[in-house]
Amino acid sequence: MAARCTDVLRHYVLLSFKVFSRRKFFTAISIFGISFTLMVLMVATAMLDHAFGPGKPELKGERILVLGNARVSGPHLIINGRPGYALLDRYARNLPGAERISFATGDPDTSVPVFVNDRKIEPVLKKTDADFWQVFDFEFVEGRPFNQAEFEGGRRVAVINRSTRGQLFGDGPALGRQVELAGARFDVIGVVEDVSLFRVEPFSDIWVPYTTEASTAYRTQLLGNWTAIALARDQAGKEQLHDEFNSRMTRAELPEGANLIVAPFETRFEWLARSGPFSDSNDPESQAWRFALLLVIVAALFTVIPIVNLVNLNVSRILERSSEIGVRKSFGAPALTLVGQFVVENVLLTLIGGLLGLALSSVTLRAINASTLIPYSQFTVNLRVFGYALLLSLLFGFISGVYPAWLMSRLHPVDALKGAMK
Amino acid sequence: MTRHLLRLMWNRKRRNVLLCIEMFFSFVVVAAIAIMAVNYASNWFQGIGYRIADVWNVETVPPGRTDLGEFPEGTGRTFGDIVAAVRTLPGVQAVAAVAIAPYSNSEARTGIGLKDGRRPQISLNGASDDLPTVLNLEIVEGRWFGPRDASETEYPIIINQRLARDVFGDGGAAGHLLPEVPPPLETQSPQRPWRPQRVVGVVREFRKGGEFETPRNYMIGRIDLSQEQFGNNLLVRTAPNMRADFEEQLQKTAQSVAREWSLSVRRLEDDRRVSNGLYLALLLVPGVIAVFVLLMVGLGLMGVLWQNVTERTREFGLRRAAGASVDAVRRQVLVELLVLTSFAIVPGVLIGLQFPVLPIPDYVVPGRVIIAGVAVSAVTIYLLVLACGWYPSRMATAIRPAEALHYE
Repeated sequence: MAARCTDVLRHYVLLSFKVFSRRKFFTAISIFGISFTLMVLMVATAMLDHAFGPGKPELKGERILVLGNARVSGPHLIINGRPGYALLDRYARNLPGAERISFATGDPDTSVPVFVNDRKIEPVLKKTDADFWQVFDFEFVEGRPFNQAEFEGGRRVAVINRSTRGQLFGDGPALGRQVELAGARFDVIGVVEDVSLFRVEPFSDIWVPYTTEASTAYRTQLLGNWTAIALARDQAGKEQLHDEFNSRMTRAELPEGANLIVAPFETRFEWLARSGPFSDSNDPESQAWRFALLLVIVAALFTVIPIVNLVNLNVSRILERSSEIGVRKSFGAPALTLVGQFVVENVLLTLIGGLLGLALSSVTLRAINASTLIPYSQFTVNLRVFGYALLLSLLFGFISGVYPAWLMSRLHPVDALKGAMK
Repeated sequence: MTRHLLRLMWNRKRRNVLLCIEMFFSFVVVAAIAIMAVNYASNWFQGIGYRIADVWNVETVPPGRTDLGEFPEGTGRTFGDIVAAVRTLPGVQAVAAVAIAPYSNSEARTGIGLKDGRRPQISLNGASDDLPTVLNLEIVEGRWFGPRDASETEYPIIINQRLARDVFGDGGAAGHLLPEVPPPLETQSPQRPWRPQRVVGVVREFRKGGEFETPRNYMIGRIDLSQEQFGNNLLVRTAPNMRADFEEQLQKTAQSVAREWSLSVRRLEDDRRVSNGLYLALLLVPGVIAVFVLLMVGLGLMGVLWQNVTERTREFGLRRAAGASVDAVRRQVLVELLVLTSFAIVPGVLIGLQFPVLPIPDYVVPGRVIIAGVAVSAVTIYLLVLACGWYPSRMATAIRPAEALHYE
C-alpha cells in the first residue's frame, strides 16, 4: 500500500512538472507571486525570531522575565514608563523562584558622548550590576565582566562591545586602556561581541556598574529608567516570582495622588505589548495574546491578495485543462484522486516558490544587516525560521489549491470534455 | 446592449466574484498607502515656520526628577547657568530654551474648552524670549513675549495662524484672552494653577515635527529664564560654518556648569535627517511591498484575462461574423472589465468616503487628503486593469471570424 502511495505521488509530481513546463507564463507569474509573498512573511518571521527567539546572549532566555513597564494611575494622572530604582530596590529583591535578579538602566537611547580625536561618537551606556553577567551569557572577545566586589566598591570599570572598541582604540586590544564617560575615566576590563538592539535588555555599547554614578538621587525614584531582569530557577519559578511580585505591588507604597500601580514581571514579547499598543491596560495579567492576534490579522490581510490571485490563476488553469479532466473522469477517476492531484501540484508549486522566497529573504536580511539600520542586527535564516517558512509554504499552497480543486472535481465529464464551465 | 453585457457577466459570476475580491483588497491597500503619500506630499509643500541651519540642540536631563515629574530645587538655576555659559562661547549668536525641540518625537497635546462649546485639540510647547531670533520665526501679528509679559494673573502665549483663525476668526487675535472655560478646581494641578491665557502674538507656523508632520493647532507658553524656570532643551544659533571642534567645546562648556546632568549635543540638521528618515521609512517600506503586490496582481490578472479570452474565442468569432467591428469587440472586453472593476471599487470608495465624516482629528489626516488618496487609488486600479486588459483584448480580435468559428 505504501509503495503504491509513493508511486501515485511520484506520478503526480512528474505530471505536475509536465504541466508547469507546458504553461511557462502561468508558472512564472504564480512563482513570482508566491515567492514574493513568502519572502515578506519570512523576513518578518526572521525579525520576530531575532527579537524573541533564543540566541546569544540569551541562552537561558526561556527562564528570563523582565520588569520594564510601570503604570501609575490616579484620579488626575496616568504615568506610563519604566520603573525607577526605588521600586525595584524595595520590592524586586529576594523573590521566591528567582535564581538571580539583575537591575539595569532601561532605554536603549541613553547615549553618552565620547570624543575621539575631535570626532564625537555616542555609544549607548547601560548601568548595571554584577548579576547581569550571570543572567546573560555574553561572548567575551577579551577580558572579563565586572564582579561583585568591583560592583559594591563602585570601581570605575567598563565592559565595551567590539564595535565600540574599534571606534575608540582601533583594532588592537583594549584591556588596560581608559575611556572618559561624562567627565570620569573608566578602565576597560572586558570586550564582548555586539548585541542586537532587538534584544533590548542585554543591548548596549558600554556597560558600567551603576554604583559609579555620582549622584544618588535615582535611589529614591519610584519611576525612572530602570529594568529588572529575573532569571527564574525553572518554569514553576517563573510563575512563582511573577505572582509574588504582583502581590507585593498590591501592597506597595504609592506616590501622592496615585491609587494603583501595575508593574508585572513578563517576557519581552509581553512587555512590548504592554508598553506599545496596549499600554492603557490596568490588568497585571498580560495582554500579549491581543498583540499576537493583531500580528496574525495583519499577516492574514497581507496574504489575502496573493491567495485570491493564485486561486484565480488556478481556476483559469483548470478550465484550460478541462478536456484532460473530462477524459480522466469519463475513464472513472474518482473526484478525490483529481483533487489530490491538483493539490499536490499546487503545493509543489508553492514549495518551489517558497524555496525561492527563502533565498530572496536571505538576501534581503543580509542587506538590512549591512545597512546598519538596526544597530548590530544579525537577522539570519536559521533552521527554526526555515521550519516556519516550510510550514507557511505548505499552508499557502493548500489554501490556494483546495477551492480550485473542489471546482474541478465537480465538473461534469461531458461539460468538461466540451471545455465549458458555468 | 448593456443588459446583454451584464447578462454575459452574470453567467460567469463565480469567477468574476473572485476577481472582484482581489481588486477590492488591492484597492484598500493602495488607498491606505496613497492617503499616506498624499498627506506627506501636501505637508511637504507647507512651510514649517522656522529655519534650522546653524542651530544646535543641547538636550538636558537633570538628575533627581521626582515621580510626578517635578525637579529638585536649583534645577532652573543650573539651567540658567548653562544658558549664560553657552552665550559667552565665541561664534554663538543667540541661545533660547524650548520645552520640546524641533524634530523631537515627543508631543504634548491638550483639549481646551472654549466658551462657545468647542473643544479644539492644541499641541503645546514652551519657549523663552529668544526663540524667534534662534529659529527665525515669522511673527504675523502682535509680538513675541518678553520680560514685560511677566504677570501673576495671566499666562502670555503665542499661537499659530491656524489656531488664531480657528478661535478668533479673521478678527485678529493679538492682545485678546483665549475665550476659555476655566476647568473645575479639582482637576487643576497645584504646581501650575489655571490662569486666563493672553495671546501676545501669532506666528505664521510652528510645526515641531518638521516637513512631514501634518499641520495642527499650536500654542507656545513662556519659559521665564529670569525666574529660574527649567526648559529641557537649549537651542543655540551660531555663525555659519563653525569649526568641527565647536560641538566638543559646547558639550564641555555646558557640562562644566552642570556636572551631574546628562547632556546631549546635536545639530538640528542631524535631528531633521533622522526624523524625516523615519517618516519616509514608514511610507517606503509598505510602499515598496505594495508596488510588488500590485505587480503580482497585474500579472495574475493578465493571465486570467488571457485565459478568459482564449476560452471565449468562439463567442467573439460569432460576433465578428455577425458584423461587429474589431473595435466593438475589443471595447466589449474592456468595458466588461471596467464594469467588473467598478463592482470592486465603488463599495471601496463609499467606505473610504466615510472616513472624513468620522471624527478623525485633523492633526492625523485632513479629510480632503483622504478623499484625494481614495481618488488616487481608484484611478491607479482602473489604469492597472486597463493596462492588463489591453493585450488580451487585442488577442480577442486577432483571429479571423472564420477560424474562430472552427476553433476547438
